[in-house]
Amino acid sequence: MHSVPPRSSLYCAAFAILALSSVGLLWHGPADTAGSASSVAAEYRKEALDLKLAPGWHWPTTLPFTNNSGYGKGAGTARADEYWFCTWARRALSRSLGLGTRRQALEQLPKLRGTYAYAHYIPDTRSSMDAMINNALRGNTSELNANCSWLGSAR
Amino acid sequence: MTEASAETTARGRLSVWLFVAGMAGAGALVGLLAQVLRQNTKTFSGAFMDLGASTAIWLTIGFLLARWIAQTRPPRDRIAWISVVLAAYLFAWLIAYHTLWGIREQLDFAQVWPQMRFWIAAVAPVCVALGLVAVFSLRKDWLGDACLIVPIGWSLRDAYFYGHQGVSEIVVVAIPTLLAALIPAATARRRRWRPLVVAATLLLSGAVFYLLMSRFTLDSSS
Repeated sequence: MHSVPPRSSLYCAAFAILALSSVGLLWHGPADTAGSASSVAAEYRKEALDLKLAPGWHWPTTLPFTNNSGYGKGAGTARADEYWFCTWARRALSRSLGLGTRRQALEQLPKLRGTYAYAHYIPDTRSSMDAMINNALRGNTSELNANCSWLGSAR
Repeated sequence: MTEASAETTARGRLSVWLFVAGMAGAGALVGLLAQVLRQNTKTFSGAFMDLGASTAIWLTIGFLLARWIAQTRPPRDRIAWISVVLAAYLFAWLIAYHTLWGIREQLDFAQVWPQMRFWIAAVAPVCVALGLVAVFSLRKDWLGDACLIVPIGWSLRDAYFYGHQGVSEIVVVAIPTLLAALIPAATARRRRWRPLVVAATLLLSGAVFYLLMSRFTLDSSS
């Protein structure tokens, strides 16, 4: 049989819970070590040197980084990986190409798992990307299409 | 205060803090396990990764432990104390889960905290809600019926969501999630269930948690 602890203990516990939850609600945390647009662009260009885009695609001359935004370390590298990935995705989705060519493009997609972006995705994004790639390899490309629609057609 | 009452108070304080510490330990273990499953892409299949990132089953484990503790506690302040032990579990789970993620991904605290903070903020209301459900689930009336069914309601979304992703997800995530949620109801033997209450609770809680957890899951903490 357990005896009842004093109310003061309960009040202390309730206060601690409320305090911790309030910190979560109100405190935005320390400032992130955000990179400047130029440092993120440098990351992007460096990563681009190691990645081969799908035929017909080129790296953008103007990068979408502005000094108005803060960027985490590796954001440029990840963005380059994603651009690379989507060029192959767009090729795999291109109806003007033959089935064999599209299949070859599809087979490039799992290489995303070896990139910096994939290694640094949060778990749910990684899971979504895995599911998207697996589905695409099985013939269901709707998620892939939605994920890479921002890229448009080859240029 | 007499010597006997002082001893009783001290014993009461000790026992409840032992439960709080135990629940915090359980929460930390669960959080670490969930993140290990989530991150070890080379060791585990995608289904185990999904299990790590799911929410309902880990919530249900905490609920089951809290309900077991509720059965051992005296009625006075029981809801409040069960809320406290649940808060210990939830805080420990979320902190362990995100901390291990930060360590493995070599992230700064400044990068981890934004992912974690709203979960931490949610603990205060959630622990009270779960504390109420855990304690009321011990009742024999219609409210008890409803509270025994609520865990199934919050598990339906994960079971449905992951169940759609393939056979391995059904086996590894959906079925264990539902089985864990069924434990409170299944162990309520010789209970005279009120079918209308059960159906209404299942429908309502399923819909509410489906909407809530589709927006706020550890699976979408981006």
